[in-house]
Amino acid sequence: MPAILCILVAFAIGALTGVTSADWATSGRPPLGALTIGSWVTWPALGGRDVDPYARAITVRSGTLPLGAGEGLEFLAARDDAGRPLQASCSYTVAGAMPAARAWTLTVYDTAGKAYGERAGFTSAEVLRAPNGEAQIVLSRRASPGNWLPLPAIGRFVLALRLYDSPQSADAAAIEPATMPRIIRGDCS
Amino acid sequence: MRRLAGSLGIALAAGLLLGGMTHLAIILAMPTLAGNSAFDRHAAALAPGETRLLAAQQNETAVPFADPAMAMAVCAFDISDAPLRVEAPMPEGFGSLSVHGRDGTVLYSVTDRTAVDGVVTLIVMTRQQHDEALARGRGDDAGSELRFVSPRVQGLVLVRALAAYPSGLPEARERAAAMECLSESD
Repeated sequence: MPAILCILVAFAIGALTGVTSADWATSGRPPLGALTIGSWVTWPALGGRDVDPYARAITVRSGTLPLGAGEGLEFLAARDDAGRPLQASCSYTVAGAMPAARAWTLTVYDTAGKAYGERAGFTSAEVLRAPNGEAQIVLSRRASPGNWLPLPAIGRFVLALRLYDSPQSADAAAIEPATMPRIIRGDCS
Repeated sequence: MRRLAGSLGIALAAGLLLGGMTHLAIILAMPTLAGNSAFDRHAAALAPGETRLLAAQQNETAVPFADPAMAMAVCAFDISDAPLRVEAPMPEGFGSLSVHGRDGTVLYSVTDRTAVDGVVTLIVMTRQQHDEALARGRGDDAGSELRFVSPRVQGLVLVRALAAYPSGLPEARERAAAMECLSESD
């Protein structure tokens, strides 16, 4: 094989693998520094200055404004308690304890990060609670009594739980899974 | 035949090496090249001292994965000449303030617990401006204001005001939009 062809092949492979791998690595969630608690995932480093180059590139590319560590903690969930992806065709119940925080919000997003509909989320002040203080929130396409959040017609969705002014944000790794709400799948259609 | 396979192998190895270098170069260059950061989209066009409301749902001012219960407003800063003085009135419920670099990453963040009389006062300054302020002995009003020595000269300040109920959102937006960002040139 002539040398020039060899060089061209090398450059073509380089450009193709370099660009596609960079695109893949920066189009989703940060690949490094994730902290998983139950079905919930958070990136503690995003709230401060020690951001790795991948997380920085993802922040730039997506145009997000991460919550600072001094403000609170942000958790995302794309899977239920059993590890199955969150599907709009199923109904879910988010129930259980909430970590300590001055206020929390639970929000439904599509996978691109757009809040869904007029009623996309609840704040800790507006949910109805059981006598023991726990809140149970139903997510489904069909309306249901109590704390209900509508889901989009089709596709996957993402849940965000934000703890504002939480004493836990100094050390997110210390949060016990039992103090986080569970995401339980109900019927699917 | 063996020579062909050998040269193809060399081309493949060199290609993958080049690919790795390209990958790293793109990742590291992304913050300076991409025009989609929150700063480029919301703050770059603002005049000095101008505050703009952001929305979680409207299209042009949308921030992905923003909390719809949270009213947010931004102002841009460039402290190469003079420090920036931010006065942000806090809402009844929860409010917070964060300083972001041009790439959108968080440099500093505080909650309304630091507010004095319901207003968080934050001075964003460079190391040199901070040293000069200390040398001039302006420490007397330091009790009511926060001083942040920013590692970046340009960036944006974001104020968040939580509306505990949807009916409180207009008021929270009003509160967020009331943030004042003034260049402290004296």
